Amino acid sequence: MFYSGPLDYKQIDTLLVQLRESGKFQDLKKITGKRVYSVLVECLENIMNHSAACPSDDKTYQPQVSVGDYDDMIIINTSNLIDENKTEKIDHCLKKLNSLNSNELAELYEENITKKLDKNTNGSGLGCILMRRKSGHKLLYSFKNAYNDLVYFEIRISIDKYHEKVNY
Amino acid sequence: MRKLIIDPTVNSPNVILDPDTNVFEIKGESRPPDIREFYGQIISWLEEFSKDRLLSKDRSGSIPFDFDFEYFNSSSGKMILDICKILAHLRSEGFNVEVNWHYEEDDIDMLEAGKEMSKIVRLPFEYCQKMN
Repeated sequence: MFYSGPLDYKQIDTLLVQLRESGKFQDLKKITGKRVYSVLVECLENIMNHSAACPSDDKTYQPQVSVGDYDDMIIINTSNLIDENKTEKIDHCLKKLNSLNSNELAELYEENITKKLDKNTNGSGLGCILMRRKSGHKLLYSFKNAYNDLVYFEIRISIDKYHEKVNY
Repeated sequence: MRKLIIDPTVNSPNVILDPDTNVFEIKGESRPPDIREFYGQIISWLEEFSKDRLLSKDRSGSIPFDFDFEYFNSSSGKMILDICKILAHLRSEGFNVEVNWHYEEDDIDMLEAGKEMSKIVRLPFEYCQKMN
């Protein structure tokens, strides 16, 4: 699955239906399919809620989402523009998530889920924890300079096709 | 007390909160566009229901509550936890609250999510596996 362009709830619904109806998705083990679906929803909602607007008609830095099937992995890639001043916070958050083991992630999840829902973020911190837990692999990401004060944020989430228990 | 029924949509679950029939259920997929509005009405209803029950002082009978999610997003998770807190409070006041957490066969993540919710709010859940 590949999509490039702006995202709203209607478009998210369309993409999720497209994913669910694809033969490759239906062939996945149920638990793998559910993990892919779950991670994709969080990715799409993050893009919709946190992307910066593109300052020109240039389509190079539009939001992009892909779900690919590679041997024993499903790989979800997403990219979108963000304000440069958010990079430090995101980098810190993702580095921390990547450094935690299974138990530590469970503790962090508990700590975050009991916090009041943040009006500005819609609980996106929890979404990243969920992505890391569903994946079991480190979240790979990069920031590329795009425009003044804007960077193109790319993240890759890998999900094992055949392992029911996630490994950290 | 009036019942609360919300029909399911492509991104929000079916909700039945009906004291007359003693059916309390949230079922389906949960990633509603306006999470606060969607779950706000459920939480307000449950707070009212809880107040009503506490005033009546009648602790007889059970309050079965069924969570039957196909999927819920991270923001919904926070709201489900808030619902569980209300149910845990009712239980701590002597009501027989029976939470049934449904999950599909092989969906160990949904089972795990239920166990985590149960542990956080200190409310026992019954885990009900659905056959494929």
